[in-house]
Amino acid sequence: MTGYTCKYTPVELLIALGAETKILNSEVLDFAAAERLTHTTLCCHAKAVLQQSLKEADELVLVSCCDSQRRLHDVLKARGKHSFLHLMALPHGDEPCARLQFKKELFRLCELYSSRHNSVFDRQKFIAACREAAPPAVDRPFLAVLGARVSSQMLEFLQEKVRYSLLDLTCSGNRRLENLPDGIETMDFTELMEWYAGALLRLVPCMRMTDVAGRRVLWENDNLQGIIYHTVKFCDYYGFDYARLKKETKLPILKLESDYTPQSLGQFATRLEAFMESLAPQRIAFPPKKAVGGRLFAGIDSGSTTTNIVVLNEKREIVASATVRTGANVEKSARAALEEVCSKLGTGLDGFAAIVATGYGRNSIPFANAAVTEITCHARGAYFLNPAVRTIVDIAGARTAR
Amino acid sequence: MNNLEKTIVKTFGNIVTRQVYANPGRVRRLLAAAYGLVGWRNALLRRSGVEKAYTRMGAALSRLISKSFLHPENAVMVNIFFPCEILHSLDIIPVFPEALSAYLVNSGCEQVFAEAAENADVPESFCSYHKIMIGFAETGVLPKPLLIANTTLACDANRLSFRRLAEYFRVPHLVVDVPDRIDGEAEHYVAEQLRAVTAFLEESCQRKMDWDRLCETVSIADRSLKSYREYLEIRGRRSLPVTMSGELYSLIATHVLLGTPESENYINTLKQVAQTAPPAAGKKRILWLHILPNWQESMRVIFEQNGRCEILCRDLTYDVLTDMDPRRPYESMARRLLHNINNGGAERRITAAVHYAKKMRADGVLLFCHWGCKQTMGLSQLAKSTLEAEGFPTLVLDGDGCDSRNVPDGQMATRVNAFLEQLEAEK
Ligand code: SF4
Ligand code: SF4
Ligand code: SF4
Repeated sequence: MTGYTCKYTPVELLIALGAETKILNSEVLDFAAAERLTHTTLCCHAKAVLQQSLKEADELVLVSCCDSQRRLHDVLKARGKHSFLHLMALPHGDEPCARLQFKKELFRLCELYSSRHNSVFDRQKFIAACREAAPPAVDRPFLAVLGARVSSQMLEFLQEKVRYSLLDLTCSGNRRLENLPDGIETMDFTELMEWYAGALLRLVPCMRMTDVAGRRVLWENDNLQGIIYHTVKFCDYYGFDYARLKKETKLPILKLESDYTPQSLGQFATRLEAFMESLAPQRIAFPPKKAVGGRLFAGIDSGSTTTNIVVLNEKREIVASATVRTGANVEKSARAALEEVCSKLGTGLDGFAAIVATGYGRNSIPFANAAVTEITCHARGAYFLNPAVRTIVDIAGARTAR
Repeated sequence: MNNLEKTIVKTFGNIVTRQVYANPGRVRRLLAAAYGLVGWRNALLRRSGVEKAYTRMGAALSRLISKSFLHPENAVMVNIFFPCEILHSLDIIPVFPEALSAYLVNSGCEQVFAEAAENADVPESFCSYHKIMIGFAETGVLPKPLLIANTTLACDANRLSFRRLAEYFRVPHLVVDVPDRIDGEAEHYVAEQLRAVTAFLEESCQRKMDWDRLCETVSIADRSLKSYREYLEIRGRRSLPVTMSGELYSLIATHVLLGTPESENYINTLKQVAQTAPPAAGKKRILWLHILPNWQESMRVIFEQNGRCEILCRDLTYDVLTDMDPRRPYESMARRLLHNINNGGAERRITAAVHYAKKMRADGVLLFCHWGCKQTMGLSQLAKSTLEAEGFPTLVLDGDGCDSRNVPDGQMATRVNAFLEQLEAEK
């Protein structure tokens, strides 16, 4: 198996030379061994690849993407365990000189790989692989993950959580080769590589390239509904892209930073849910007017330490509130809080037009009409009290958030 | 620094910090005046030994920064590796992050700029030289330069911050792409790009490049580099009170100011002083890799005042001491970029470290991991194991060359002292 990490890797050429390729994008449990060989503040993706490569010394084709990748190559080269390890020099643009340089790199890789494996270039395989990497059209609403590469685990996790189709347009995801040129069948190897070097350099530029204006196509798309912007811990490239993106688009953006370990994922769940709520505000299914006698509205915040309830009347005035300790049973605590306000107001469950639950136990309260994340509730609550508020600090029992 | 100077710096830093957002123009004038004053004061000081070279270079640098604030329309923002012979020959002032950030931290006002950059989405883990420069520019204190020109050598920070600032200032951005591999084609590729830079500059500042002047500048550069090589040769046998700020001056003399009479004078003075310096004896001789935290009092005490050790030189000054051919200025500058030990794999930098550790008769090596510098951090352990296998004990020290927020001061001092004890116990 030949592992690679970068979208500019000539995957189709490797396939044509008989390689079985695989993108290395997996999380690891810790970075202990990788950090012993490098440093704690090296990019987490590079450390994850290093950590894995110490166990599985398959073949590896790297690209001189960034300082972290260059050093990853240096360290692996010094260990000398890989049967095939190669670093390709990637130019910073697609002008003629750069294409020439990159074509030479393709020739060099081809020579090294085929002499190592005694293999020859299979033109039909190459053309078929290029054809497969051509772009599909997107004709329905979608969300995009942009920014630095996401781990395969994180991508799966995101796909599960969002209610739209999700396109991976991160640095390693948006690898779509342009359509094949006319007459490709009759081109000789040099001509093929000339076209291929250009086609690779004409991919949507990542932040490593000098001219990044072309990145706009990633977010200028009528079907795009919102952006999950991902950065990798200790990667510098994409913080800069995010700053630009924020200025250029009005689409809703959720920024997530991960560190290529499974720990990140748990923290994202609530923020993702809140993001989905902001994209398509939940229609709360109120019972029909005639069916309920009361016109009261209650919000229950089921936190890890306490359960709070606040009741508003039709004029949006607070008419009652209560706080009880959250015991082992979330539902029971919520009922206790509800009973407390009911007895204050002299009403029963039927006095309420709607009850909305939030907080970590929000999904375990069966008598609530809807469950909404605390992030959305905080935002709405703060806006209700003072529309000028821009930052909320939530000091909670389980964690503090901003 | 004595106590009075410390109080002045602190008060100055506070004034700057308080005014940055309300009145960036005033802060700029204040800094220009202060650096101008320091420049003149240093120029008038009568010093001897290495201090003579340092005060003169300090004066030249302070005046350069001050001038770039007052005449930004004649200043070009560059990175430390950019071949500035082109600028000097056109009488253009170079502005670069290493000097700006080092001056700001020594004026006690870097934090406000680092924070401004972080608030504008510059990653916390980004190289602090560049981070402070971005904050300095985007708060409106650094004036808009004529244009920005940088090389892709030697790190990611170059690619990111200069592009961002060119967009911010809306000025042209010229990038010289330096390939990793060294061959005739690569030399031609880089030389052509440098010619294009000249053409662009001629157009922008409405001045014609005088070919003879460029050749003369490259000739000064060549003499200076030869002289610096000789200095290092002598330094290997002598003991010299080199300071951390002194090494910053040497970096600037062998890079951004290379080709100027100031740089040549500086290097020649250094060489003369070394020739008459006492032979090496007693003190532990440290080869320094990468950045020196010249603002940090505890490190200054250890490396400049305690008499136990001395800094030999830093690897950024010997990164490329090749000959230059004044009749082929562009090819010579291109070669300097390609052969830089920071270009390409870590091997070149580590091999050079071993070479100079031997040549300079080092007792130990200190590799300084400056905050955010991935290229240095990434090779730190590889360098340590290679150098130690060659018999040079190596300390990998984390710190920051220009942002005092990132520094565990006490812990650093303890680690350096323990390292010196280890060296002292060995021989
Ligand atoms: S940032 Fe660019 S060069 Fe780096 S891995 Fe991603 S696609 Fe490749
Ligand atoms: S995530 Fe960023 S730093 Fe890491 S390998 Fe990719 S581009 Fe480089
Ligand atoms: S300290 Fe490192 S990251 Fe910063 S500019 Fe220098 S080489 Fe680049």
